[in-house]
Amino acid sequence: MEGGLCLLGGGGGSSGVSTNESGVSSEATSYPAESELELGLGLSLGGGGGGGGGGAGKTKTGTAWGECGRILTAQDFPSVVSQRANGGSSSAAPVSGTKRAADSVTHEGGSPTAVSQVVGWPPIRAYRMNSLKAPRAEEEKAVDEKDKSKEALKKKICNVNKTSGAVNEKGHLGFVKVNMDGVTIGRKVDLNAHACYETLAQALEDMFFRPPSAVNLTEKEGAKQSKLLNGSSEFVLTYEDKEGDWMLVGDVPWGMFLSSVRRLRIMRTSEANGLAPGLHDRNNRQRNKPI
Amino acid sequence: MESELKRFRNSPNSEELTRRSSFPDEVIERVLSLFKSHKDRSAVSLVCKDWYNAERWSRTHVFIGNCYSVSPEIVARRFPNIRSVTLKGKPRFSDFNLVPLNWGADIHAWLVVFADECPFLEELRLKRMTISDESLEFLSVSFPNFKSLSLLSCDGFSTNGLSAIATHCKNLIELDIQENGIDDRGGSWLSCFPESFTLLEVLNFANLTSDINFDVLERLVSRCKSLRVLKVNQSISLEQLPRLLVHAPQLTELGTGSFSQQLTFPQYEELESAFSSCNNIHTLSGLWDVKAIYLPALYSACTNLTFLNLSYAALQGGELAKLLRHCPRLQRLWVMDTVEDKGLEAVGLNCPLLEELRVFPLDPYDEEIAHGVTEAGFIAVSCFCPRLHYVLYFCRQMTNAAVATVVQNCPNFTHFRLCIMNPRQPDCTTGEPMDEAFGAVVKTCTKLQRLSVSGLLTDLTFEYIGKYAKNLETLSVAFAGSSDWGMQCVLEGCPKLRKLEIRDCPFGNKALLSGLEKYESMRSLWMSACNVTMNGCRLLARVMPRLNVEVMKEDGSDDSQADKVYVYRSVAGPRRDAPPSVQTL
Repeated sequence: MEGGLCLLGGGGGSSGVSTNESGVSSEATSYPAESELELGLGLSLGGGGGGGGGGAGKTKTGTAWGECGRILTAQDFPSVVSQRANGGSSSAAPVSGTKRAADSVTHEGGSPTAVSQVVGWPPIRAYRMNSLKAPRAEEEKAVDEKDKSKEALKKKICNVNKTSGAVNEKGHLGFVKVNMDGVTIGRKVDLNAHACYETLAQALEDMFFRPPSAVNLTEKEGAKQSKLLNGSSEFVLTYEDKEGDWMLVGDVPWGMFLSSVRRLRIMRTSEANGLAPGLHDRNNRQRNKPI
Repeated sequence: MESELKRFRNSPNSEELTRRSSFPDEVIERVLSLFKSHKDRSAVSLVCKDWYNAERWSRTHVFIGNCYSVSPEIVARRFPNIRSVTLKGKPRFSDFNLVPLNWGADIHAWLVVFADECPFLEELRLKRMTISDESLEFLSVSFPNFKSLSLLSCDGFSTNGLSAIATHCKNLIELDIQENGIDDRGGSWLSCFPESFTLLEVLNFANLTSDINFDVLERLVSRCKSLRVLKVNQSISLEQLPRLLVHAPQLTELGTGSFSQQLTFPQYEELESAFSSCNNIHTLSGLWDVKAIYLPALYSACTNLTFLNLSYAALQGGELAKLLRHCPRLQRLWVMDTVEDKGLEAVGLNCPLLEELRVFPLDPYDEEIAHGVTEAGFIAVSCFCPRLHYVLYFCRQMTNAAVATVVQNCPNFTHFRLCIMNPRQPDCTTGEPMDEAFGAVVKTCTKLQRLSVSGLLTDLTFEYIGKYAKNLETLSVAFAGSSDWGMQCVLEGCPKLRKLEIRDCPFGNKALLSGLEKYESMRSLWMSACNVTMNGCRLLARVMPRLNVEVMKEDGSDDSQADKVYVYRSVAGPRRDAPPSVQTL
């Protein structure tokens, strides 16, 4: 069923180089037009208290990662659409590699077999998959934490209390799934590629809110602050931990977060009640904002 | 030379005259030693007996594409002076777990023969062979001049075997362990190189996972002054990397370890400085767990980069774009599909000299996740990289029009491997089969040597292939075709076809048998999960005695069905080392 999906940004039109519009339609049938909404992700920083509330009453103390959370002004984000090809393609019915093809000749309307059910398909060397999945023999070596100043690398480097590598229990390279409310198709993000909540939030924003347009060759270095840490938005970033509980992202030190996170969810703030004690207060503040 | 000839022709020894050709053997051998390509040498050896002899005495390198096509005894007898052997064993689909374990292709019998007949062997390059630790040890003690070992897609060995190589091969210059089914028992093998050992030029252990002793590695690198290829594994950190690089500024190929450690500013500077003194690097790989913020450290080493292998580095498109701005001379690029179309656009914009592109899927099995590359990225690269002639592209959607555009932009494809990952998926905009896409490929790309097809395909695709792909040598087909006719078109139409591998297609005995004469001019045929029966295979085996017809059956399948068929020509007769699951007819 999903076989015919055009992916985000699949439309060649945006890049201007395709001679064939992929017929991507913008009808986002599963959710209302989101371009009218001010989108961003709320993320609580620091322990407990006040945190990411709507710009008002933030009681940020000098917690280690508080420095990462600069506030940005809101922007309009284009609608996030999971675009489907017109007419949805009739996906064929692949069969397990062990079945004879004769049984599978009728492929109209057959329910497709998941790719993962077919032996030896897609044709990727099994030894390559092993290399990718191999757990790291040891965690990242702890480095002296004192001298990691932000301006040192001319990028943001976050101070973290404890440097611990993401243990590879999550699968490939520390990738975890990210789903966003109202968006059918999820994504994956590599937690190992991030050193703090700030960069993670930025990456998620790029994934879910930025239009996948042609490369912006003039994109600025040291990108502007991610909205995720703003707290003044319709969405909050949450995660499911090892025990299966859903928590607000940002409540715990980065290293601890890495070792307990199983997957992420960009949740509508309105549904995030009771996630964490502090959130309730945040929600109260946020309800004052127009939706 | 000419006077020699005249003297020779005027020689009174008429028997000598009739026996010999125009040139003395030494001259022919000398001339022939300049021929490097096996195809040329094969042609030369067919001219006449003298040339055959001259060729065999002067041959130093033997390439055997199917280890069962010939026996080690025959090879050793014919080429007594060989120094280098390249052997390929199992059918390619063994890489995807389609071949039973213990299928064969064990190197040991070869080593035993060579130890007797060709003890001066220096180089062994194996692909899809089984090699045990005992064999590696035998190798290391039987060939005193042994210099070069390269293993790809092999299995059956552990790091203990590497220990034996390191311990005993006093003349080793190359140890190249690529992606293999190796039992990694630890990194102590590296410590087996004697402290006095300094000859190493190539060391690749990138795909091993265990920790190795960094001090040992550092000392080895610093004393091997001729080291030009160094590919380390993930256990080597960003902090350790500069300490290796400063010892080896002459490196031409570098595979980094993990690229994601937290660095202090002095450490980052050290990394950057180490890279800046590496002016000779033309190939870069590794970058495991890459943190993009550290990539600028290697910009200075990228100026002369011609091959960048990011197939283990899950970069986003923007991150790739920034990196590629510093790689203007790039000819070969391997990436993961995390870069998406945006990244491929950057490839087009920054790498006009690109000749080869491979896009690997990060997560081929997970269908819930939308990511990867599409037809747009493919088109983008083709627009700006007219020299592109090799592509391997894993994607979740494609259109006929896009492929047509791509080959119009890049008509010089020699290798076109397109994998639409969902089997039998049609054109994602029109819902039609992808026949016209591959039709465009074979019509436009007259130099095409290798083709892998995918998506929803009817017999029409194979009609096109048979009609137009006159230089095609290797064809891979999966979940495609409508009837026997498709396969027949290919067998009848492609004169240069050498390797045909088919899985899950509705081709049966009629198709199989239509290629009777063809198979002797091919290296091999693989058919699995098709409609071929045991009777069909038996008939083939009976009519073509110089072919080995091997059948592998699945558990619980019909007795009459030939689930997996592997047909190959051989001068060595049926093999005797097949496991019970493999039946030679």
